[in-house]
Amino acid sequence: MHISSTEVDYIALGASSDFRADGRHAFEFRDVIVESHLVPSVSGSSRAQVGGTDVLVYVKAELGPAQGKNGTEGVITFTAHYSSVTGLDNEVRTSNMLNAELEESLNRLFSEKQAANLERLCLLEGRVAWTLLVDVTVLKADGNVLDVASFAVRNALLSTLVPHVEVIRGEEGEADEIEVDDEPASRRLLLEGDPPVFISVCLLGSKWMLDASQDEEASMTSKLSVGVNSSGKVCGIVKAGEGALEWDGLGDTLKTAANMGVKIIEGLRKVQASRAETVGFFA
Amino acid sequence: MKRKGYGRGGRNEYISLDGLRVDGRRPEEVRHIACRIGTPGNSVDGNAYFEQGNTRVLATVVGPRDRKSSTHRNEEGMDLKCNYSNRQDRRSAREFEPLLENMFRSVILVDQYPKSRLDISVEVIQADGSLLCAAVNAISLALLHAGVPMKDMICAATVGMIDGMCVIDLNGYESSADGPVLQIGVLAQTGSISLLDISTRLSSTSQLQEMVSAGTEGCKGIYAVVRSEAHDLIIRLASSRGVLGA
Repeated sequence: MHISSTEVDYIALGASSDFRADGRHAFEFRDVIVESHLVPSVSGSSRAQVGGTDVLVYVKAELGPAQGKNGTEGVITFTAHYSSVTGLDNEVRTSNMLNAELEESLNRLFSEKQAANLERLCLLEGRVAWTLLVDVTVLKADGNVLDVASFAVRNALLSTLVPHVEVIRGEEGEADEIEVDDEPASRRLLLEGDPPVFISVCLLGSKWMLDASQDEEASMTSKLSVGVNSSGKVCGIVKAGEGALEWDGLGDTLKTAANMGVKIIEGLRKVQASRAETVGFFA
Repeated sequence: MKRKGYGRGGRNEYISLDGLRVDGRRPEEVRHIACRIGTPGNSVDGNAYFEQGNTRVLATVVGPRDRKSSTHRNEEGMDLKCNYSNRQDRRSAREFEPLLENMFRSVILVDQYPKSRLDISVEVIQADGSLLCAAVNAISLALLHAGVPMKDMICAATVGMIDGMCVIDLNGYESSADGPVLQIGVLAQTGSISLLDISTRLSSTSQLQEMVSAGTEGCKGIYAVVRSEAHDLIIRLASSRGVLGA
């Protein structure tokens, strides 16, 4: 995204007087819309919209070999792509930098032990476990894509339904027998727990701000994406952008991000619990 | 795991004794269509959402704009690039992209835009058969939204011949039936055919004729829905600019 130096100055000046182009304060989030169970052909799906950013997440559950040290864990892997419908320049979009960055950040957030209870995915120790393939598609990009994607991922994982599966250990040298219950009513929620979300703070001039729009992201010097769980604990930090950071005051910034994370997760939980009517797609 | 009706060995039933299809439709019935020209909060030049049963696609158009790349494929006219993406089936892009490009090059007034380019993108949100046709319909709407000058609008539909019966708008399950499948794209005003793609062997030309006329009928039905959405768009635009009274 190209942005003129005067535009950068304008945005930075606004930031220093705590006033942003869309009228928000520095630590104010745009409205968050999340919904799940949109696509019946996959195990779990969710769509999150924040301002002009729109991310769609599919979860496909497959049976695979058990992983981990003792073979007691399942796997969650992420693939991410910026769709061509975002209207981003093709050269930028297909450079794979954007996709890889998003994918890696999510993979690393969920590599943490407490992020998702991977042991719940195990069906038979050392043999069979669920493998969750999480597919992230960015439909519209107007800044803060990583955060929005993480909201949708959390929502999709927690709403993933799988059929009841019985695994019977095979005799010596024989394959395990797998029985799948066809009954739709016997499907259960696969994951419970507390997947973290990302909350990003951007540094513009000397001011930090939350939930930067595309223009603000183009004029920032650096960005910290903080993984936060529902108790406000920091589960990971990714720094992006070219600028270097001052150590002073960083603690306060992280605290602001963590507090916002708690609020957002609280909201996401409410939506999950209420089984609110979905907005659906565009028509 | 065995699922009823999906077995490979036995013959699957696609049309019941009552003459209804698996999802309860009559042979000539198109699934429910919902579409929207110009989805909210989108910054691209043109975009549209098209839904046909459980098939859902999103299309955007960027341009016509100055082409900056040095690859001048077409010095006089417009460079038209199509980008099709389906996360569930990544191979289909290579097959569909040139088809779509050629089809839309024939209706867009490319000569009017020398040394410019137009990017068309399609994202399949959910796949349940008739994907190419849904993509065509979505792109037509997105082009309309972008204000790209066209000779006509293209509407497309799939026609299958299952158990000797002509069925329109195949869903995902019906697409796996063996028997000829015809994808047909029709210029809405003139009725001339801009896309004709048959996957398997036909037993006779009369069969083709039957399928083409059924497909044309289907396209007409789709056009009626699309047209009313386009009409809504014009009303929306006109009233937002104060051309129409309250």
